Amino acid sequence: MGSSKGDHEASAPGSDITGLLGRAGAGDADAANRLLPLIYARLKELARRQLGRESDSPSLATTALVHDAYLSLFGDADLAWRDRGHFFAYAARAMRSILIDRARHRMRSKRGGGAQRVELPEQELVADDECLELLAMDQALTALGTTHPRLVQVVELRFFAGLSVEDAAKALDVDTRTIERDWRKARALIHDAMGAST
Amino acid sequence: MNPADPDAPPAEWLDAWFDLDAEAQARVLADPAVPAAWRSAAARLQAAAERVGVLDRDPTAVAEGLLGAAPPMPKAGDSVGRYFLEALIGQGGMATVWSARHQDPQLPQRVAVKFLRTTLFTPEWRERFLREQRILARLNHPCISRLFDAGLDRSGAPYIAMELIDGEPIGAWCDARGLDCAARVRLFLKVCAAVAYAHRNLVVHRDLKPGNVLVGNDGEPHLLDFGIAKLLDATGAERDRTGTGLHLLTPAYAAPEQLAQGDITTATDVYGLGALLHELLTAARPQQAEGGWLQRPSSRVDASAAAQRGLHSAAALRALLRGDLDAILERALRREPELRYASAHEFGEDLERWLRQETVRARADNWRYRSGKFVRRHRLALALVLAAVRGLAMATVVSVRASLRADRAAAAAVQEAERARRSRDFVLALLQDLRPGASSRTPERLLDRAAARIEQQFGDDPESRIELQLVLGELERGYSRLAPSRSLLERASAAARAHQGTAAPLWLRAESSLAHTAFREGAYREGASRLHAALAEYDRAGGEFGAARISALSRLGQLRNHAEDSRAALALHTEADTAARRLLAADDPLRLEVRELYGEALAGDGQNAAARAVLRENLAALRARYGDRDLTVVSALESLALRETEAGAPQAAIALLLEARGIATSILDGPHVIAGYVENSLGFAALKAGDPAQAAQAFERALAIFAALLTPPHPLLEATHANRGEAALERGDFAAAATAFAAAQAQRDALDPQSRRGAFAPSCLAGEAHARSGDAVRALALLEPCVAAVQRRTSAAPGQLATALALRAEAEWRAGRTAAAQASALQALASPLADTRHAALLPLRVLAEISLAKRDAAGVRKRIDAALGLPPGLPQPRPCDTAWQLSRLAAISVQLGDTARAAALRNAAGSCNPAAPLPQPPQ
Repeated sequence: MGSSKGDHEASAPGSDITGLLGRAGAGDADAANRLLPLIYARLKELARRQLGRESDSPSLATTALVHDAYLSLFGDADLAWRDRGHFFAYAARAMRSILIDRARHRMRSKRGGGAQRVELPEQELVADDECLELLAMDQALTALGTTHPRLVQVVELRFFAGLSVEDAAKALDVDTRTIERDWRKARALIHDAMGAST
Repeated sequence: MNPADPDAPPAEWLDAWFDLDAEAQARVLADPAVPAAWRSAAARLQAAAERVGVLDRDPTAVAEGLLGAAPPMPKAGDSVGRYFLEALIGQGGMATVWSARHQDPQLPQRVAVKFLRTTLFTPEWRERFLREQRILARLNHPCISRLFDAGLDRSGAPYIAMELIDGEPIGAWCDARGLDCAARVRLFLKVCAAVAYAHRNLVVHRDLKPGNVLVGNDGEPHLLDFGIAKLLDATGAERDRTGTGLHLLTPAYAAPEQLAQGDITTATDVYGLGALLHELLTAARPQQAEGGWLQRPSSRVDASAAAQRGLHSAAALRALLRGDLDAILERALRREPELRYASAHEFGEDLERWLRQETVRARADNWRYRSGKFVRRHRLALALVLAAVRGLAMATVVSVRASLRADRAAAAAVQEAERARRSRDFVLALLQDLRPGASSRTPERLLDRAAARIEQQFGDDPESRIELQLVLGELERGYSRLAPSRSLLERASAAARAHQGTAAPLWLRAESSLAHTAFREGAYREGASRLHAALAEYDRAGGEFGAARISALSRLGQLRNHAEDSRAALALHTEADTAARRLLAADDPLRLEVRELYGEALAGDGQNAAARAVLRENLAALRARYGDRDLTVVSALESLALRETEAGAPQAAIALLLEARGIATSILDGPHVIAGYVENSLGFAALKAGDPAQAAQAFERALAIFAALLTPPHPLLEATHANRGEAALERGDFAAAATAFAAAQAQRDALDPQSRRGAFAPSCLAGEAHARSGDAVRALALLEPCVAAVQRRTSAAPGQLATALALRAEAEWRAGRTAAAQASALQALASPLADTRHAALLPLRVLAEISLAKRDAAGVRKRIDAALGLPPGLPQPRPCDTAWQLSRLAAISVQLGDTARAAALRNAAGSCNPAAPLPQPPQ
């Protein structure tokens, strides 16, 4: 898959964004609000580039996208492991926004909604009901955030960013057992909420 | 889950519950000590966790789907698996098809490679896809296009490589040649035979339609896409829940149960075949009329259809179809699967009769249904009549006209008519025996006479004789006459083997039936090894993969389960259950039986929650199939009740068992082994409910029934005596307990060592009873070898060693050997935790007693805290013993002035309802 170090911006944007990451990680809401769009834009850009390329490796693994985004934003910058963890958590959230926006857009365009510029090639690979289910899941996930914020992070890392249990554990600085249990629990709570809404 | 709900469980509690394994979770769910609201919250989450949803998809596949990373379109020259693609030859909603050739130029084989479009790429899906394709690859029939292999291409999309058929759809092919109806039926018969072949191999096509039947240059039909629908449908039930259906059906040809998402069985293909024939004969697709009836096929034809079939007018075609062919099509296209032809083979047979101008069965009065009510009134006669019908009376509708025809068919017809006559005589004679006042009305007399009649009347007709002996052997077993049952079945098996060989389903049926009799005899290991050998021989001889094999797998699993090889048992039952669901209708008696045994195997493997779900569902199906008054329902109630007791719901179990007993009493006229099981399980449930007096009575009733039916020694007698001992222990009647355990041990000693179950000999429990009654010397004499035996036995469950050591500690303590008692108790604590609450408490109590004697308050507190900290889900088969031990610890606390701990212990002691006074601690 994809991007190597040669791909990332030469202008070492690391310093600024590293500062944001550090402040966001320390609980600075303003920094977090500025950080997310940056990561969002970078992931989207990478995804478009990945898909636009005549590639012999057509698969688009979100986990690789997230890692590429990391490389392109921080390059070789020697980030504290705690900040790396924060980055992955933010990137996973951004990935969730990208995918959910996409699902929403698809549902809208299906219903003949507003004329939106099509940024990515429109292909009918995902069934409508899968989109619907994804949106319902996103809603349940948002609701879960009010009581179980960590479970939300685990779902974002594992499902939206496609991280392995080990990587997710590193990102959240917990052991893998906790991730596995949280995943099971989140899955059950989300299924429960989705079952109740239908 | 509403967090504001004051009854909602705390998050930490749910976390802890999530951390438990499935069995422990189930135990908590059944633990009455846990608030009901917490349990129901957890149960809801458990149900939610079992659903499959979008979170189970492969994240990469979801992202690709949304962001539009399309897998690359294959192009000519690409290699896929072992093939090079050549040209795109077809494209449809669900698949694209390429012609391809093998990469090995030595193999000229040209194949069709079919790429399937699906977004369901979960690992389970992949696994099932690959498993299904291996089954399909086994099909090898000239009229079925071979599946060579299947796999996932580099982008993970599934593909199938199959024989490339150059041909024309069957309808167009017939029309182009102006084939008449008889020629069309002859061609169709080959399709029928191919479908019947696949059914024998447990593969259902599911999507039979003219486009899937091509006729090649050789004029032979070739069926495409056999089982492919199933292959794609591999996510099964989840699919329906998430609504991401693949919409694979072709509605015009789909059977009603497919549209209603009911069970897909071979009957579904019978419908598909009917639809295909309908179109071949009338040029129209079948159409349902008002009230679910099929519009009469002959009414649907027009002049152009007649012309294509070589007839001058629509009226001529109508006349040809009216009557027999209308009836045949109506039978095949019945809305209710069970009213269609029972198999593709039977469908074909009726068409052959039509070709030979014999009376077709579809039109003959179906006396089996009409006679149903009459037969139900005579339960024993029912089985014999059915045997006669199933085995022999295929020819009851052979017309006189047919039997007079002077050709080769006549000989066969005469033979069939002769069989029909004999079976009618046989049944009539038995009914004579049944008439009121007849001297032979006891079942035993009737069975003896039936056996003699079989020899007389069917001496020269081995096939019929074997069939009848099988049924009779089963009836003898039902009446617990195990020796005559075995002898009849041995004869049937030997005859089947001699006349039909080891690939014959009849022989395997006889062997399975023998194994069932061995099961009743308690000869679990011997029965299992014989049936295992028979099954292997049958498979080696190429026996077909049908009902006989399913039954044998299930029976072998049952024996293995009782021989305490639960892993092997579960594997066998899983295979049998999967096959039964594939081959048999939802309410087929064999399928229901297989499912019940599967549920028991799940329980044997420790999967109690899953077992209960299966058994509950099966109970409902049995009730729907047989009504409430049937022995199978009794058996299913008993089986479910046992699991309810194990799951900590003895009151629910008792309700089920009382219903079972009521039914059994109303339909049985003598002792029956199932009634014994019901009493035994009632005893269990009463024990668990803390009512040892009721339990003791139930075990006595069970013993009376088993003693009347079984020849000692028997594992069931050992178990029942041991259960009597448990009930006596719980009542505090230690002398009676010691006697009962000794009786159990006597059965065990007399059994072949192979038939002994459990690492824990009844003598250990006799030792416990002696210890409690104050006879420490006898107790130790029994318990020393008991500990040694458990230590020796590598297959002993973890926890059994702790139990044995704790029993020894108690006996030593009561014998005044304090140092030895302390050592044993500490050794017990250092071993894996005992698997019952009373045994886990035992070493703690002994140590607390020792500390009390030394006035060591800290030592006592330590043991009491350990007792209070035992896992909440620990099984509690002896609530009275448990309550007594906790009360004793509470009394010790009081002596040391620790009222807080005393209160906590009393609170934990729970309820027990002993008829006898609680046992007193020794002085």
